[in-house]
Amino acid sequence: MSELKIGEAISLQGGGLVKIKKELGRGGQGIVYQVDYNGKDVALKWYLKDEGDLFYRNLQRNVSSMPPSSNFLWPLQVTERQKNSFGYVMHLRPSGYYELGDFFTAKVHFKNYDSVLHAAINICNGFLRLHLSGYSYQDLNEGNFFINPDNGDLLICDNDNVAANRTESGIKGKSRYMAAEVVNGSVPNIQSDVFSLAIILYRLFMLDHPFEGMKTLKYVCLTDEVERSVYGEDAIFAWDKDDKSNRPHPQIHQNANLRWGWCPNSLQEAFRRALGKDSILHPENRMTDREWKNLFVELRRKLIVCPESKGSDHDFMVDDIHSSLKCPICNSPVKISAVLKFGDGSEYPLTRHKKLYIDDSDEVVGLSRVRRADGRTELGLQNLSDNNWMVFTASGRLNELSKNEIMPLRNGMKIRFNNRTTAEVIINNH
Amino acid sequence: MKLENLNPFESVQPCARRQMNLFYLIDCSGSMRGNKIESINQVMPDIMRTIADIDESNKDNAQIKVACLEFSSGCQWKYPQPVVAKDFKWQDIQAGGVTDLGAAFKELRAHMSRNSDLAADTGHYAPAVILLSDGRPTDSWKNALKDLQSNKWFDAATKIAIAVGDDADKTVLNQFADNEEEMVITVHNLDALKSVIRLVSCTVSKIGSNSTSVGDKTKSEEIKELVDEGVKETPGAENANHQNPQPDKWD
Repeated sequence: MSELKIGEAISLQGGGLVKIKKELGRGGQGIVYQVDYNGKDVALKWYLKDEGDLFYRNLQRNVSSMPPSSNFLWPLQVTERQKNSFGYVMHLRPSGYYELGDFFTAKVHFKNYDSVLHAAINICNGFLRLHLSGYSYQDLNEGNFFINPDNGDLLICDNDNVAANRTESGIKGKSRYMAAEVVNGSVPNIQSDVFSLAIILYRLFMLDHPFEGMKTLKYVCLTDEVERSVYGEDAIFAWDKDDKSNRPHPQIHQNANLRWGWCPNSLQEAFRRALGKDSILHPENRMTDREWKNLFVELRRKLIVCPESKGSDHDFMVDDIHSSLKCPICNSPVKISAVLKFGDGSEYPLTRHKKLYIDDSDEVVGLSRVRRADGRTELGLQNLSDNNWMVFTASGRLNELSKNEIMPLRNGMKIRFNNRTTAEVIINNH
Repeated sequence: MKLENLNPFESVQPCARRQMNLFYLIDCSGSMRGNKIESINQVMPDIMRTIADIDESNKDNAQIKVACLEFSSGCQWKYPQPVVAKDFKWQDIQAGGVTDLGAAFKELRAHMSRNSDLAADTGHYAPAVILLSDGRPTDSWKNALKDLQSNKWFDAATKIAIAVGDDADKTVLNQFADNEEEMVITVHNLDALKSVIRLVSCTVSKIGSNSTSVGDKTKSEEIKELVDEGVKETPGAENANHQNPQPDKWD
């Protein structure tokens, strides 16, 4: 077993040294140290033992390629092989981020559905980009994701096992997060990644595990054999439409029981499809990262923020914004005061505190808030983006709205957010 | 369930965790008196802290609970029920008396049951049992071990035996460990004793309380490999079944 001492110097491939400052954490495979690199603090992941040529070469390849998105804490430099092992350097994880496992143990919790959806979209986006560049993650589990519970900002870590699709990185994942064919020994690939992704996404919303319910509880001793069956080919989704044998237990799986009802039909159906029997057994029928992302972007657009809540603490997901809406937390009836109708026909409901995103972008470009001016109090929209908005009034006048300014929302207005996206304001007077 | 007035972001329950039970069977007969038992007393509090760290880093993987049965003239649990490592306060063991290993096997069998130590509603992972002894059993152990081996929990458990010095009865230790060669380790000095208890405790805790790795290797095989690797790196420790090469004409 290889461990490093404070003050020890480790040489990097291609020149340079890092000096060990302190241990930040350790797992089954390695230790993460804070190290000094030319006066700058960075992180070094050091393997407990030399993981072999295949693994080292794969790591070198990853270093030479660009990270798929800014959410990845990507390997920056590999060390030389020394002291019977090796490691790689990456940026330090900023504060405010918690391991997804900390959400499962209720150490931290999300602020609202806006932050959950933001995290979900970021996860899908990261994997979409990774897969588009021909790589697969291979060993997806709860330890790979660090999330800011207040806003859903995301960092994807442990990118050492990322490998070209259908090639072995030398790392084996844990059965609880792996697709059935991988549990049975197949090499992980993009299709097995999207199955693990579905498990992660389910847990992001539900916290409990999608394959743990009344039936799995009957196995009082989870031996290897049982585990490979209940997380492999014989897995039964807790909310399977036809097979109800593995429903969440009323006391033991309270998280799933409470949260499933908060998911609109479209999300429940997506989970049923992505984690159902057909998807378990037929990799080609799995829900893709792009499909997931599109669904979450849609749910984020239609997210209803209860105007009675402080800030945006009470929000809820719906499929139909025109149905009769009631805040499930405080029971207040919710009236959507204004809707932005975009060129593609999509409608963006606005109530107080609702954030505005354009298409699938992560950037919050606007915030719906009360505007008090000229003796009038009405719902307005604040420009939070760096672009000036062009606003055409119903009478045809053109106004420009710069960053941080608030405009009133009045019927028939048209807002041009950038050079290609325009929406019409529809005020709901009912 | 009524959703009204239940905020999903405030009504969060820690996710259900299975349990992984680690049982220690520690010989505290008269021959363990002195440095041997003192070494154990010295190292165990620190091992409990390490297991507590593993437990914490496990998140919603299995929670590790520890039980320790001391045996000499009769046997006695340190706590009446298994406790989480964080709460396991190690009270020093005093050595003295004979080696009633059979009584310890019998007592362990009674505790390896849904009606006793393995009663978690959330279920369990396979337990682990670590046996440490420096001598020969003084009671009738054969039938007690046979009975224990008919227990399904014991059958599924990872079993590791540590022989302290050359006087330990290898036959009983081998039988206890299902004749898995790598799972019976002899330690020849106090440093090796401390290192090996730590090695086996941490390895079974880490692997045993986590989801199994994909592929062909079972958790037991993974543990066996890691323990064997660790033993080879520990001066003064060796596989108890290791045969010294016979002298030949070059000696």
